[in-house]
Parts: sequence; structure tokens; C-alpha cells
Amino acid sequence: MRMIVDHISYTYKENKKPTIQDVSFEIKEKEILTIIGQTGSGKSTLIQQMNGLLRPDTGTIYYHGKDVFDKDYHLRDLRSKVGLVFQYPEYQLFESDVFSDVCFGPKNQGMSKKQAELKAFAALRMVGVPEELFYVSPFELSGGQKRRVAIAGVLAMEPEILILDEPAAGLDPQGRKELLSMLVKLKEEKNMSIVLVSHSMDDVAEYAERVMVLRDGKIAYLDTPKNVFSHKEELEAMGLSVPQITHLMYSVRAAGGMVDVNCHTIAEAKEAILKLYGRG
Amino acid sequence: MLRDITLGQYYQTNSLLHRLDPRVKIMGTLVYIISLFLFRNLFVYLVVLGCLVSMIKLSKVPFSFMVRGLQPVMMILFLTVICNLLFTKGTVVYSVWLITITREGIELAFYMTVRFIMLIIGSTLMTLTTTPTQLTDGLESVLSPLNKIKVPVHEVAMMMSIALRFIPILMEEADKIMKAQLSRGADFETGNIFHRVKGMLPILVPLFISAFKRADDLAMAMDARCYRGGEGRSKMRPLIYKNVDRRAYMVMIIYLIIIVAVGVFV
Amino acid sequence: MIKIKNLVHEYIRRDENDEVTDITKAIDDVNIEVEKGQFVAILGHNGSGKSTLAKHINALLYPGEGSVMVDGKDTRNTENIWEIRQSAGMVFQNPDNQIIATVVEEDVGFGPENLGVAPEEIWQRVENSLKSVGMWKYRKDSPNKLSGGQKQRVAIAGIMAMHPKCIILDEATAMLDPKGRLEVMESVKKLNEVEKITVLHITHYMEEVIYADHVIVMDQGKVVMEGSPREIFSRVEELGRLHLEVPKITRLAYELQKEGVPLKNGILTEEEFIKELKSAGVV
Repeated sequence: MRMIVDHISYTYKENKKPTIQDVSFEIKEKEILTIIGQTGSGKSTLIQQMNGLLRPDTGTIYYHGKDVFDKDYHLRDLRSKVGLVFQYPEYQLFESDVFSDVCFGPKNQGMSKKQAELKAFAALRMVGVPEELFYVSPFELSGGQKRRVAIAGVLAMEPEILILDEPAAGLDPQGRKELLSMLVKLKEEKNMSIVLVSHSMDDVAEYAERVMVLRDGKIAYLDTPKNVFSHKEELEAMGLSVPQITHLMYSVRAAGGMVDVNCHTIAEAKEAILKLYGRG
Repeated sequence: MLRDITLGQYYQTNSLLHRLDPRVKIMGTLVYIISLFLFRNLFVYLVVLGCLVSMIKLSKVPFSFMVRGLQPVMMILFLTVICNLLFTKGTVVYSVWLITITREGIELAFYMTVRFIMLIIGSTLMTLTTTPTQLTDGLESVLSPLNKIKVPVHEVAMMMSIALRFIPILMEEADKIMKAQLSRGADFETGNIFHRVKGMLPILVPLFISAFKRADDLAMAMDARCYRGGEGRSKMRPLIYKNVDRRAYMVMIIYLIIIVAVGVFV
Repeated sequence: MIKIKNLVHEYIRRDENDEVTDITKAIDDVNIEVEKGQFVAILGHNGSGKSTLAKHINALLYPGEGSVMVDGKDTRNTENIWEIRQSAGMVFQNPDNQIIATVVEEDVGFGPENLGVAPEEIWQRVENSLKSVGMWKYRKDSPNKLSGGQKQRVAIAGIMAMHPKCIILDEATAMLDPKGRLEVMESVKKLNEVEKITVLHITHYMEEVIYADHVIVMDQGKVVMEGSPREIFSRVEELGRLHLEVPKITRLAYELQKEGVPLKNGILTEEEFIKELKSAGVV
């Protein structure tokens, strides 16, 4: 168990209603956990608490067994192990060239120049930024490239847990696919735990091992995508949806086709439909 | 949330003051400020105070909102009072060690305080009863004679209203960038001044870049919506004087006459 | 309504000495014609030149070569630009950066004010256009309190209040969540059907193309495919090579076809899919 979130609640000063209510879960090693929920369900508040940016009113968070809100615990240590990538992270770039920007994190960790540069180099490699772009201004890059550089800036700190808020927002299908497969690679090769806030149910179905559904600051479901997406009506009542393919399978079922509605990917649906045709 | 902070702290209610034309309120505030500085006479201030209290009653805005406007300037007020007390020459009434307090000093400090507080409360009353849009519209209209001497009045008013819209957005953005850099291990709290200023760069640079990008986008959006300056533009809320506004101007004139009369003869 | 002939747009980069270092053709010999009342989608991945094209139609950019005619007016003639911008309204990508006023209704009134419309009529237009996008009940609100989809609908209302003949959505859905995207697309579809507004929708979301009756695919500044959504989506492999992705349902039908299942080409919706299953007698 890398991180244990233990009964946390949080209320913003100006609100009466709590934004996070008695939320508990844990993050395992080498997994992809996605968080879904409507705007205002508490997703962004929750991820900020996991990074120590907001302190819960009650409850606490344990990282490798240590209480991170203990007064002897340095939150900066937590932040270097739990990387947080905000939405549209390219807006945080500030250095005059790509390479120095990525060095910012490792340098803050107290690494020597040489060490920081090694980390930056490895991180940029990892996200697939070609070397000829290392010394250009980050502001001259394309949107997708900027996004990668910003993520590299967090990766260079070598976090064990990487939290990303809608990392593919605004990217085209190609960029989206590349970015999500990069996250899978990070999990596989670096044993990282990835926490992904997403709006795309198709991405959730394809990439997640576990899904957390937030509703009004509480966990409504925390389970495998298969189990979560079997609650189609409940999800739709929350303003969420099931993957397009699952939706189709429900419609086929309603039309009288005896298919398994628990299909989320094209491959699964293909098998199910082929069965209808008496094949497969 | 930062987004909800509004500048100009408008207080929504329906009162005579709220319904007045913004130009009347701007002129009224000007007349009021002039009346404050015309005379240094206790009776004049009593008249001014009476008028202020009745205006506050008319506005239906709770008195606590007026006092809120005072809080940020309390420190300045305190310092001026101290300076006036200590450094005014005249008849000594009290003296200990290096500190001498004069009669003139006390008088000056007293009048300063009264003027200052009344000034702040009076202008707060205007912003509390006028929406930011009305205020910019009113200022644009009141200042329009300056157009003749090539002051870009419309442009300044437009800038003011755009600022009103974007300040909350940029404040929220600053907060977000700060959090992003914090989670990259940035440190904004320790070290000497030089260090701290340098530490702000990772926030300020992205903020400026984003502000310029927004300005660029906004300029294009305004172009696309046929914005081409103040000429040929109509207003969805044209400022038209009503009877009540004319009466308000009359009240202002009578007020000035009374002030002058009291100041000269009493 | 819109006629684009042999349009070329070059971005020229210069170094410090003003020497030309690089010329990129963002638009390379493009010919497009859009009829009145059509709903046209322009598809392409980032950097394919589709946004540059949009800015030409609004006379925010001028042709280097070729010409752009909007409602019979040439964008090269500077006397026409205000009429062109009034008849072809534009909605941009970032919802925050195109709302000017601090109150919804005042923002919608901004365009008509610029056109010098009389006050009573401005209020009438503001009411009609806010109602047409379903934002009337938010008229007194601050734009900062609205969701992304709602902000874009306010922006659309702001355009509608200028009584345009055509609306150009320049990646207006790119920054929205699925719910916001749906809201915007449904408002736009309604304007197209009810008010007969010509719509030019620029996007990289393939699902949104099903609203269109004509699709143009761009790549590296050129038009590479053109046709009805069905025609375009039956060319799955070709779209893949252009780094575009067909909607999941279309992809599934295509995979099934490859397995020898008899389905028609370019299935776009669930209804079509189920109709095919029914006619095959499997459901």
C-alpha cells in the first residue's frame, strides 16, 4: 500500500456544504486508478489533498505508513514522491528553455546541477520529447509538446505516484492516445501508480484497473471498470455515462439481442455480436 | 473561491440611491468631497455628517458595509494622525522627553481624521449603490468632455470594465500556478528578500504569458464581434436623466449653498 | 454562402535580421464551397490548418493568394470586413477569453452595441438569442460562475444577437467536457435547423461530425477528403493514416465487416447499427 487515505473530510471556508465527505481508499503499487465524477463532485479538491496542497479538516493521509499531516513530516518530501499534474499543465512552464524548466523540480529537491540534469534528461526521454527540442523555448512548442514537457517536469522528480487531472484535455485523438499509452508505459516500466482524473468513459474502460466514482464529495463506487459500468442507470442519474460501446450493447439488448451488456471495448463487443450471428 | 471576489463591492437592494443615474452619483460624490475640504469648521461638519447619515439611511445598505471600506485604510489613517500630532508646531499643551504635542497638532489630527473617515464612507456609499458597469458608463459620460483634449475616455472605460472581468480569472490562475509550482517543490516562504523575489518568477512568468495570451484572444474575439472603438456604438442601457435625477441635482445645489452659508456666517 | 478559391496562407518566420528563415504553408491551395443553411464540419488533427482557415472566413486574416468570398463579399476588400464579420460570427476555443462583460446579458449585447443597434432592439435581440441557446435564466449571472459549456452557449448567443447568416465554431468544443460538448452541439444543431443558420464546425472530435451534412477533412493545409459523414466514415483505414479516429460504433461495424458480417458502410449511430442487425434477422 503506497498511500492510504483515511476518512478525510474537507469544507471550503466560504461553503457550508463539505466538498469532501468521509473519503477512504488506498493506492496500490503499479496500478492505474481513475477518478470520475461530475464538475463539482470534489475531484480536484481530493487530488490536491493527496499532494498535501490542502489539509483535510478531519481524517488524514498515510504515505508508506507515515501520517503526512503530522507536524514532523515535511510536505515537500511528500510532493516529490506524489507528483501532481494539473489540468492544462503547459501554463506552468516558465524557464527560457525546455531543459531548464524540467530541471526546476529536481533542483528544488536539493539535487546537484549534474544530478538534476540527468533526471531531466531521462524524464524528457520518457515522454518522447526529441533532443533537438531540449534547448528551444518551451513557448515555441506545439500544444501537445508543451504538455509533454510539463509532465516531464513532474516526472523528473521521480515520483512513485503520479496524479494527473484530465491530462489529455484539448489534445487531438492521436495526441490523446500517445499520452495515455505513455502513462501505461510509466506504470509498467517504472512501477508507478497512476491516478487519473478523466471525463472520457472510453479511456477509463480502456486504461483503468480501478475506477472511483465521486458523487457530492463521497465515494459512490470504487471497483473495476467492469463492475462500475454495470451500474448504467445510477451513473446516468449522476450525469455520467457508460462507454459508447457499452451503451450500444444495452441498446442491442433492448432490441432483443441476447448479448452480454458488460462489453466496454471494441474487441469485446465484436465477439459478442459475432455470437449473435452464430459465430465466434 | 477567488472567483467570487468582486471589485467595487456592489450591494444589491432597491433604494432611491440605487435607482439614481450613475452620473448623478458621481457628481454628488464630487460635490460631497468638495464640501469636506471647503471649510475647517465644526458646524459645517455637523451639516455634512447629517447629510451623510440620511444618505446612508436612504441607501438601505447596512452600516457595517460602510465600515468595511474603512478597514484597509486604517493603518494610513493611524500614521497620519501620529504624524500630525507629533510634528505640528504651535502652542505646546503637553511635553515629555522628545515628544511635544501642540494645540494645533490636536486640531489638525482631529480634522484630518474626520475628513478622512467621511471621505471613505461617502465614496464607499457610491460604489455600494452602483454596479461596476454603471460606474464605468457613468465615468465615461462624465469625463466625455475630456475627449476634446484627446483623452481616450471610451477606451479607458472599456479597459476598466475588461479589468473587472479578468482580475478574478487571473487571481484564480495565479493560485493554480502557485499550487502547480508548489507541487514541483518550489519554496515561496523561506530565504531572504532576494531569494523570495527570485522564487516568485515561476509564478509571475507563466502568469504574464497567460495574461498576454488572454489579451490576444480577447482582442481577436472583440474584432470578430465588430468592435471598432466608441464611434458609432450604441448602448443597451443609454444614460437618460429622469425627474428624480434632476431633483437630485437641485438637492446638491441647495446642499452646497447651505454649506457655504454655514461656513461663512456661523 | 462561403466560397473559397485557391486559398494559400503562409506563415513566414524571420530571424533577428529580418531574414526569412522558414515558410510554412498553413493553407495550401484550398477550394471550398458552403451552401446557405448547410452544416459543414471541418476535421483535422492539430496543426492541419483548419483554424487558420476559420480566421480567413471571418476576415481576421487576409488571403496571400486566392480569394475568400463570404455572402458575396470579398475579404480582400477592406471596406467589407465589418459586414463580413457581422454575417459570419465566430466562436473561439477558450470560453473565458471571449466573454467581455461581467454580466451575461451585457455580454450578449456587446455585438449589437458595436453595430449601433437601438437600445430597445438590443434588449429584444438579447432575449431572443439567450432563449435560443437555453441560457435565458442565467442572464443576470456573472460568466465566471458558469460551466464551460454554458459559457460557450453565451458566446454563441452573443454571435446570434448580431443576426449573422453563418456561425463558425473554431474548435469551440475542444476545451469542454463531454456534457458541455453535447450542450453546445445541440444548441448549434437547433440553430441550424430552426433558424436556418449556416454552420461551419471545426473540430477534431469525430463524434461531432454526425451532426453535419457535409464533411471536409484537412491535412497539412490541404483538403484531403470531402463528402457526407457516411462517405467519409466508410474510409476507416484512410482516416487512420491521417491520425483521425472514427466513432467507436463505426469502428465496431468496420471490424465486423472485416470478419465477413454483412453490414452497410459507414454506420454512424446506434439506430443504424440495430436496424442492420434487425434486417439480418439476428435480433
